[in-house]
Amino acid sequence: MFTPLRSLSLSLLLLWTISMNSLAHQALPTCRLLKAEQDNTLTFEIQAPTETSWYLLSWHTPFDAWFSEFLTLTDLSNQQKLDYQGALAKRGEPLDDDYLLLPAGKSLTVSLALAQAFEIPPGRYRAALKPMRLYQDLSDKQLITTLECPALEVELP
Amino acid sequence: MSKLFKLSTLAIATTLLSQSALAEGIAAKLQMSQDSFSSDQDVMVTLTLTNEANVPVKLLKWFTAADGVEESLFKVTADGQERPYLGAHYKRPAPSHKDYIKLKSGESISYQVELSSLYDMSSTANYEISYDVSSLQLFAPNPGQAKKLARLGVEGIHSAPASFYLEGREFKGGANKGKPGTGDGGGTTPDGISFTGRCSNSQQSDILAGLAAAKTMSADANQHLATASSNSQRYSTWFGAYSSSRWNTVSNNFSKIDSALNNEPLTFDCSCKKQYYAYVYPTQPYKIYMCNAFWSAPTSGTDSKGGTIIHETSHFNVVAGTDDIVYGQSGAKSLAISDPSQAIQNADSHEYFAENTPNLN
Repeated sequence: MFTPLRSLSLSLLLLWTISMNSLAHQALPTCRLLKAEQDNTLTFEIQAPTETSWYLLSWHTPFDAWFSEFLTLTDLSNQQKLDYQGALAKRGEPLDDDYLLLPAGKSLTVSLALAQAFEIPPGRYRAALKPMRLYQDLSDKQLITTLECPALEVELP
Repeated sequence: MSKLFKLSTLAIATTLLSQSALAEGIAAKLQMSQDSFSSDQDVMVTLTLTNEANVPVKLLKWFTAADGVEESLFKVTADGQERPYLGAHYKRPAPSHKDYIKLKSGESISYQVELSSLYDMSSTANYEISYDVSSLQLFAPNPGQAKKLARLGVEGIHSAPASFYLEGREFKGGANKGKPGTGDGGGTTPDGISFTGRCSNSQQSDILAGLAAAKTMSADANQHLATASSNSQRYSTWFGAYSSSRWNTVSNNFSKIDSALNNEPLTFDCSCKKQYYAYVYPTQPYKIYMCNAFWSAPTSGTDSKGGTIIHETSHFNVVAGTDDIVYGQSGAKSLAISDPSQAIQNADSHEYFAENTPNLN
């Protein structure tokens, strides 16, 4: 049902997104999780907008597998989070190498073998990523733009 | 006919002679950095390979230290007893041309190698070491040449031995004396601390100093939580506004951290080459993987070796099950203000509370 209330909240969301984007003066990358062909494997894809390059701090993103708990798997039958069994690392300040360049119009993908970090009983799960940090300019790391990727509901064998 | 026979004989003889000269023309020399070493010193040796033949020679890199030590390159004895190699053995495809380095006639190449991370040097003894490599593929990616060298009985390079005295970090006695705990690096101290992943003498020493600092910090943190008043500035700086249940959670966490550091069989691994301080698998107590930033950290104080060990220990699910919600002092301070319930689950918040630098009451 498309209620007036829902339509209002959608417009507000749209307005908010536009204002966030104009705040950053640039269009944001898009990102998504996809089910891969292999069992218990997801593909993560992030695509920069056609006109703008961005930098992504790789820490706590799929490009950091599995040295941080950047992904949660929630069993949809009981809303329980699976125990993360990957590594957790203590770090200092990020080095320039820790920022990945997303060239304008290009996309980066990475494959995530979930069994390396979770013991997964067969079932339906929601895979959700932590918000990511984007930068326009590595000489100004105070200006951070947060990117949230939509969660994926997926049947895992 | 007979002239032709003589000519071809001469040709074969010349070939054999040059191959022989080629193979035997590599001289290996070892030079120790010192005559004697204490248990916290790295054992450095310089390996110099010189081509003494009058033709260029190609050497298989895997048997030099060109890319670090990737095979057992040395024969090591302690008081005459052979010591096992603890480093990596690689399974590789057949060598190709790019796996060889070329030494011109008269050319030398030197490598510095740290030995205490590669060979079991846990016992106090007089050690003798020689470079001792052999492979039919050592000299050129050419099966024909390998066969000729084999026929000549030339299949390796051997140096004269170098000797030194080492005061070992004597590991557990009995049947395991001097044997590595888990097969890849160093053994178990009398306090039940194990080393894996090729920890050198100085790395083991750094870890033990960091662990001693961590124990002092955790005892001090426990003491503070047991005796301080609820308006403790030290507590509120790192864990936010006081609530009795959060205070109890933090007390419980530090009590378990302290107990783990003092009573559990800790294992420290030195194989990580990443820019992290350290990492753990929260579901796999009590093994901590030390990485590059750990070695240059101070023993105590902010982001120190001791604090890193507290941080990592707090991650184990059987200890406090903390997460990395934010990193760094300013992030941890902000988290304490904005979300105390997250702060008490954050590993760096525990570390900074324990390091207590600058000192807060």
